[in-house]
Amino acid sequence: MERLRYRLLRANSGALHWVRRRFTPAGRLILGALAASAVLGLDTTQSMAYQSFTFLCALAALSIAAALFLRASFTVERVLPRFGTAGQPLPYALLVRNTGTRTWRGRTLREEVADPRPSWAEFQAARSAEDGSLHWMDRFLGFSRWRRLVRMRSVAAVADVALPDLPPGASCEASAQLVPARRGRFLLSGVSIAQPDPLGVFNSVTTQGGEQTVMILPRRYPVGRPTLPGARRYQQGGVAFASSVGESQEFVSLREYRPGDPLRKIHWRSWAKTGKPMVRENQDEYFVRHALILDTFLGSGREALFEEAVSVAASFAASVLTQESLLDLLFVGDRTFCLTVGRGLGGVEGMLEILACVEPCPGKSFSELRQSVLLRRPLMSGCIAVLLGCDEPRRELISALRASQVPVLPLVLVDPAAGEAPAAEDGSIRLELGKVAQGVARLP
Amino acid sequence: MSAPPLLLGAAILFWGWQTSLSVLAVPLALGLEAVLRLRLRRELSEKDFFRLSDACTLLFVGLVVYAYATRTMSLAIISIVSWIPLCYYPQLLAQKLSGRDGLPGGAFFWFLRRRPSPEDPARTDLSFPFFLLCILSGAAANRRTPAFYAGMFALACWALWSAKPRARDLQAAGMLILAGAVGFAGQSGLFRLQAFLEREAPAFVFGSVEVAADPFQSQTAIGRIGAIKQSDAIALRVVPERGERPPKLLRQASYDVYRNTRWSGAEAGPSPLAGPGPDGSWELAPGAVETKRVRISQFLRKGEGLLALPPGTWRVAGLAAGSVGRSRLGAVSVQYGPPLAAIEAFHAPGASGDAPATARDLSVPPGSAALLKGLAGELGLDPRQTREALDRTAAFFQERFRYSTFQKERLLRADPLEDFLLRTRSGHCEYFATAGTLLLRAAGIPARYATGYSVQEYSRIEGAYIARQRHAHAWVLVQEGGVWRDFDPTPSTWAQEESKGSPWWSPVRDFGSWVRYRLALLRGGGLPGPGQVSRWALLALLAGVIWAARRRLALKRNADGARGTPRPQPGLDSDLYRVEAAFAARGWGRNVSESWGGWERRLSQDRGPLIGELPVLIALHEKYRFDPAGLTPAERGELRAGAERLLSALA
Repeated sequence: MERLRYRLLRANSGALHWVRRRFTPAGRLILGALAASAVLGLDTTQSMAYQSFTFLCALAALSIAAALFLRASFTVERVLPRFGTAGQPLPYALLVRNTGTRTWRGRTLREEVADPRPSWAEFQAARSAEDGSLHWMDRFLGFSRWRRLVRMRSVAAVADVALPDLPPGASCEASAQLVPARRGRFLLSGVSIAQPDPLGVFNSVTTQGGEQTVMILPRRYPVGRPTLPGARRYQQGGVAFASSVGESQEFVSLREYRPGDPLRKIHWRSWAKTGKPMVRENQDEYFVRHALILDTFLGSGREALFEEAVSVAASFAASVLTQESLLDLLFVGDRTFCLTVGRGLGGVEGMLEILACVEPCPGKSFSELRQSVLLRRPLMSGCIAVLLGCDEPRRELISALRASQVPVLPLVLVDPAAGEAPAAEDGSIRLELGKVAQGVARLP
Repeated sequence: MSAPPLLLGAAILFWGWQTSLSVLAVPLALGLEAVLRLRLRRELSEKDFFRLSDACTLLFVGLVVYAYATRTMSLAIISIVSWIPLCYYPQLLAQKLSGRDGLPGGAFFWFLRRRPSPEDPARTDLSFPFFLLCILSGAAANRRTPAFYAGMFALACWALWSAKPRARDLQAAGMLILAGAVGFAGQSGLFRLQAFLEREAPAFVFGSVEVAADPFQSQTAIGRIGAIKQSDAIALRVVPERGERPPKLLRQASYDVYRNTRWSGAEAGPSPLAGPGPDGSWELAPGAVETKRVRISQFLRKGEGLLALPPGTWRVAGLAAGSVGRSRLGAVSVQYGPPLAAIEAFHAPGASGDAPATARDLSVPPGSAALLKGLAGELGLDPRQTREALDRTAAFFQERFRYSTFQKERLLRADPLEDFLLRTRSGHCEYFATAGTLLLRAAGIPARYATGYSVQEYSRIEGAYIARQRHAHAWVLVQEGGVWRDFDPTPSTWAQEESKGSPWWSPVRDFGSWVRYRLALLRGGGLPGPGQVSRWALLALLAGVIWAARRRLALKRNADGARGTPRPQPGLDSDLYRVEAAFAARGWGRNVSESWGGWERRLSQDRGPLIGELPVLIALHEKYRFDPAGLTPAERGELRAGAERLLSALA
């Protein structure tokens, strides 16, 4: 049954996409009228709708036949930036060349995007993640689930571009605009040239490959220059970063190799001179290292909350100064991730790219993240925790960090529409859905 | 994509013409075009659209109820489709009055009202959907003239031409003409195809034993192979007088000529009866003294059909029909009757006016004559002792034959009747009635083949006897002592056999049937019928809805006399514009897209001493233009005075 439902939804979605792609607005009206007249004119003695039906059939058939003769021959080259930001329109150019023998008039350029329909596994997984808040009819039909998944997978949209009249052999530069709706990897799978038939009912569409991707980074909010609390901490083993500054990598002395010393500490020249393996000793390293914790554990239907959480995390990742300190991004996906940037190690772009792809983690529990954070507790100077709730496990994590003298800035995303309290008594800062930008702007 | 001028008005007129509602269509078309031409505008909020949508929905529901209450189901559906443009016209008018591109999604779907969000889909323009609605509604009126196709084609061409791409006019014109020609040929072909299928399909599809609704002929299922599936639907309701039993058989028609498994009636055309009387009564034969009465209700398709009547019916009362005819063979046909004929039949033995026996009532098919005569001789059927002959015939079929609705394969090239009499000895009522009729004729007793219904089931829900489709029956009419009497040779087990196939959901369907029957009785019981009056009722209803909507919408006329821009724009009379013009006259005007602030900064760099209190005036101007609260009178005076001072300084 579930499989049948999936197939029906998939087929319906595909058919609608085909109709939207192939039929102009006038054509879609004709299709609707065709269906209505078919029903009304079923009995030719009861109404005259069968006459409308045959006329509309003839019209649609002629338009489809005429469109067959309007195929385009062309080459196209896309000049696309690597990154975009959710919510920020991204203009780019396409160089189109008419390689056919006829002059183009009234043609439109369309970007073909990756199929946003979810796979069977995703559809099934989304069902198991559904909670009891859904109406039984919604659960039974699965349409809202389908729509939600399609929306989540539709990263961006590109409006059609009207092309100027183009004689054979001529080329032009078309300006397209990509409007990213959400973060993620956006795949442009090809380019089509469309032209409606002379009556403007059916589109002739010629498609060429040309896959290209653009990474849509998370939406970011202005957070000023956050002053994160915390002092420098001893970093056991130091850091072997290329452009270390301050006390890091300070040479103290040479000594004989002892089992367990890392190989990178061996001083090869001294070994050559003395004939014995020698190792360098460095001064212990102390520096500021902040953690940015992203909560990825949420119930179904709360994707908007998660998106805002990612945006908040991205806002901090992009704003924290990392010349003098390190920033660890901690979250749980299919495993626990810890990405460190700062002091020349990696860049903020890398962290934003990771955040662009982070997904909710429905199958695991918050304790995994808690464990991972607490393991790194001794290294942390301070911590920003972006949380999706303030239940017991989350409160425990904050308490445990505070008990270890790690200053914490807990930011809890709440949805007032779901009845979540916009004010907190546990010292956390609540960011209301829909007012997150104002919330983070007010942060101390 | 917007509708070209006059197209919507023309579509409304076309609809009115087709549906004979021109009296409504003309003012509606004029009203809409007046709004479009004169650019009349009203400010309507989203909530106003929602309310209007609710009013239109109510209007639609009202029309549905009205149509169902006053018309038969099929006519009601067609009427509703014909009137739909009336229901959505107020919404279209409101859209045009508001000057917006379309209606919000919430006007069509309740759930969208509860979830207003910026992600709402774009507004839906009603223009072209309404245009199509007018054409389809016009089609539902079913005025069978070539004018419909011509009008529809012209309107479609007009609409398509306005929406087509700018190039390839010649090709587009050619395609339209070709589509028109192909469509016309297609509609003619489609009509013929349906006629062909209706004519020929029954020959291919073997369905139920349909008791004749045709006084001229009855095609029997004799000789067909397989099972006969009969419907369980209720066909008749019979209420006898208190304490009386209902008649066992209700006859619809009788036939006197048998050829190739088909019975037909010679000279069976109905003769019109005089009437009706004051109580809707029709006299079928001279009255009788010992009369019984029985109330029979049956649905008539399109108000036409044959009445199922007890033997000896001489009078029918309560039948409001345009015409009632009676054939020589006793079939009573109704024309221009009600959808439900709830009649009272007065009957007495031997009172009916069936024509006396002729030579046709004694004829047997030449191919079967020898067999039938031999059989009649074997049974000892004597035409002088009709009663005894009937008893022997009944016993013959009762003892040696079996009732069955299933026929196995029969011998090739064998006459099916012969096969029945000699080999299978099993069949349904048509076999028995046909064989009985021909056997009696072979013995010299005048006989006819009769069709109708057998009444044998009492329904507690209905409080009446009922006859289902599967109770459709065939039997023999025998002339005995100058009077035609019913003789049923089918073995008495036939009713039990028939009831075996009754589905488990039969009670549910019976209940639905009873509800439909009661509603039909109500409809036939004094509610107003369709007619000229309905037009004025619709007009009054529509006017009422628009008036109610107008009051609720609390329409506000624009300050500028309801013409021009759709929304008032405060602050357009700001004195700062005069200042700007004065600066522009000196070559220091504000650039296109330059903000007031940017202009002021540029001026302060180049013409510092000249700008004076320009920043203050700009602040007041922006408050005047964009602050919903506007300026106080004092601030307005300050703006005016400051502008004057600056102008005089400039001068």
